[in-house]
Amino acid sequence: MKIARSKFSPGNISIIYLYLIGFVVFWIWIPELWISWTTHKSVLNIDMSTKAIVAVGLVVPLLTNTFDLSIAGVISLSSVMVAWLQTEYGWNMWPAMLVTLLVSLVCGAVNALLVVGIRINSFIATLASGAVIVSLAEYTSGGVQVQVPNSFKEISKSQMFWGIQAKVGYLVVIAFILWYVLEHTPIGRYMHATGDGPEAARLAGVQTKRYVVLSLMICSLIAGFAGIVSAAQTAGNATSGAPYLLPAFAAAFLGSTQFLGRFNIWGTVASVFVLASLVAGLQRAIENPGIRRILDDLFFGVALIVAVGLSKLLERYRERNAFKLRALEINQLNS
Amino acid sequence: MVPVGDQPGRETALIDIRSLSKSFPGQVALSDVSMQIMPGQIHALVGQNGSGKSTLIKILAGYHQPDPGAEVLMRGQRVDIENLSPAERSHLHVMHQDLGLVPTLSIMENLALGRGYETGFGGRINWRRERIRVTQLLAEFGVEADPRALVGSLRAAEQSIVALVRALQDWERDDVGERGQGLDLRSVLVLDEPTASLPRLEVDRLFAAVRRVAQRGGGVVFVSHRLDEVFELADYVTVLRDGKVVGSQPLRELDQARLIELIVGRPVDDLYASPPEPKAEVALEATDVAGASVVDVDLTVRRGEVVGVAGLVGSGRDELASLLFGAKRLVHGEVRVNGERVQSPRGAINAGMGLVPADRKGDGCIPAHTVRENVVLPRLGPFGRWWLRRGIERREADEWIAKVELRPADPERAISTLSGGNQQKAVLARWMRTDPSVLVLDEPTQGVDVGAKASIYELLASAAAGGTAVVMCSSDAEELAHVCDRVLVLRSGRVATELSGASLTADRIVQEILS
Repeated sequence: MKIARSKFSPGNISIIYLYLIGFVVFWIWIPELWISWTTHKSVLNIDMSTKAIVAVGLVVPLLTNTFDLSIAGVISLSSVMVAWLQTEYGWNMWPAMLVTLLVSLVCGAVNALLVVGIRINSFIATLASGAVIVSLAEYTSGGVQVQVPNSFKEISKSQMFWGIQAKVGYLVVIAFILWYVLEHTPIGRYMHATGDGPEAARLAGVQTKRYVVLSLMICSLIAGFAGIVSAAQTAGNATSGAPYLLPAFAAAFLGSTQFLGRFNIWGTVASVFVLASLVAGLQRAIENPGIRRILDDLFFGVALIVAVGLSKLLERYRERNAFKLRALEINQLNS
Repeated sequence: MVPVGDQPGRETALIDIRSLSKSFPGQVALSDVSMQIMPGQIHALVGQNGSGKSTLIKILAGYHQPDPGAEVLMRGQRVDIENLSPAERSHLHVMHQDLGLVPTLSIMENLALGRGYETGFGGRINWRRERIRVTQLLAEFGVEADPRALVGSLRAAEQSIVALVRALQDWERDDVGERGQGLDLRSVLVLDEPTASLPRLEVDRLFAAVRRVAQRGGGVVFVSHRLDEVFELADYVTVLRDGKVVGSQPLRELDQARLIELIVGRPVDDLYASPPEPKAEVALEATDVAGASVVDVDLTVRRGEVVGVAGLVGSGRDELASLLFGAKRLVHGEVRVNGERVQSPRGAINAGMGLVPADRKGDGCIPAHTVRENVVLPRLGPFGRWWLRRGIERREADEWIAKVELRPADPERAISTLSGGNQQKAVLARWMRTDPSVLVLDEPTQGVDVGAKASIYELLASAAAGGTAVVMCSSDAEELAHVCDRVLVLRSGRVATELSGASLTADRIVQEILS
């Protein structure tokens, strides 16, 4: 995987360069609005944190070469559910959250059953299960927002320091744990192996099915958690999940072209941050409300295309590099 | 090296390559290579991996440009090898190992790809005429098949012949040969490792087709690692070593030992390490094993014993390894390693088994991962359950890389960038690291060059000496005869016979396989 690529080469940390360029542009374009903590704080608190939580969760199944399109459904269901248990049944927020997370795990287990048990292509299986899960959320909510108690809102909005809200903290904790597990434990190594060479991994004793199941469960659990955070932000809503799907995929794939050259946690977090910052900058710079409304979709859509395109180009670049390396070696052998 | 094509009074070479060099940034892959392919000649091109063979083929195929100064003549005419005209290109066809056929299309459709169909009024495809044309073409090269049959349903050798026919069919559209007058075969066909995935019996069919090409005046460049096949088929050989031509002569002037010496650059006293004395203790015990093609196989292997498994494709030889390892479900019977029952790859590994699969790229290693990650994968325990300590991991990887003499000795290289032989050594290192009681290998030296072959045999012998029971499934009778203590010959899924001692010879194995 490591082929003579400098750590700081533009190909390796292009989003950081992109961010720096964007930073300078907005500095010139909208100096007062851009050079203000309020702007960046709101990027972290509102635009980025929940998206990034979903995206890092999605990295896990993507690593094992499994798609999970049901995350949008799981977010919707858990946001509705955690609100509904509290308002309709007057549950305390802790058991409500616990049950919601368990339900999310069940969603993950259903996905695992479809993908690993019945062997439906993960793309199709989770597309379908996601739709079923959304319909559950719709039914439960009756198509309206389910309000949440103010005390519950604290879990999302309570401030840590400098006005940064708790959910940024959740993101950091979740990302750190996932990074640790994926990069530094045998479980992570087995997941990588499962994704990069399923049959070879199986023949080397990796219980590949187990890791696909695990990855789908982890992803659903984290999506469920993101749903809780999103409910605490505003209210339980069956439509709250859909807007997360595209950014999560865009960030995970863009992240996969950064730092390590494969799906990774910090690349994904950085991608969400940079894309969200750029969108926020443009939204403040552009007056036209019609354009402002489409910026999010436009940006993350383009990012996904660029990311996947970039990884294809990277692949070819590496093949060429590998060829050159081999040629160099032959030369050494000759001399 | 003495050029042969320039002697007066001889025919013009179909292709005459003169002082061809190719350098990549910082290195020379080919230097001053000359080679003539005469009409009717089957010209073997041999050399170790990295000798420049594949660079030469790629130049012929038009992928690479040679350095300035090279001269290439086709039938006496100077051509620009980088930019062959379509007519010239049709006289120089490279058939790659991956045949480039579409398995879900019919033979006829595959042949029409890039050529077009016989058409009638209004551009309508004249299927009948097309079918007759294709049937005749196929029959000429020994394939009796309905042109409407899907290529995927053909046997391996038949697919190769279809690819061969596809390469040849354009030759008839040449300016010299008149259409409908049969094929004008005064052209060159380059076969790159055509037999790598063919069973022995089918190799003969392909060879018959290749000889047919030569009889009709075509020139064939035959690239192969299998030297016995080189001797069987070719009449002339060019040996490349380190990008230079080190031998160019008729094959009848050479014997196998001398050819190996040319390829490797030093005399190889003994390509095969001799098997050590087996111990008494039983390591592997398989009873009544049955799978998709294996019907009923009993197999007992003692520690330190090297047992070979021979047979045609479909005889069960190619399935037995995965059955023993638990990678494929047993339909019947059971496998025990040190008394422990094996039912899954993980279970097999825990019981002390290792498998070197036939398909290195798909099953043997994870191509995108580093050598280190590939070598340590089956056993990560020593590096910690909750934290993989990179230092220890790196040290162990280095140790094993040194033990198997991996080239390059870099644990952080993606394993896909290694040569086939070195990938195989890395896979062997993976299993030897787990100190297995039983090591099962499926075609361990397929597509591996002679030098790496010798070291793989050495590694196997040392594993056996250390008390590992080795089961080796191979289509290479020569190898089985030399490496194994005894060889089981499978026919139709059953053990037809067992050879050992004086009766264990390559000829005898082949004879038993076919009878």
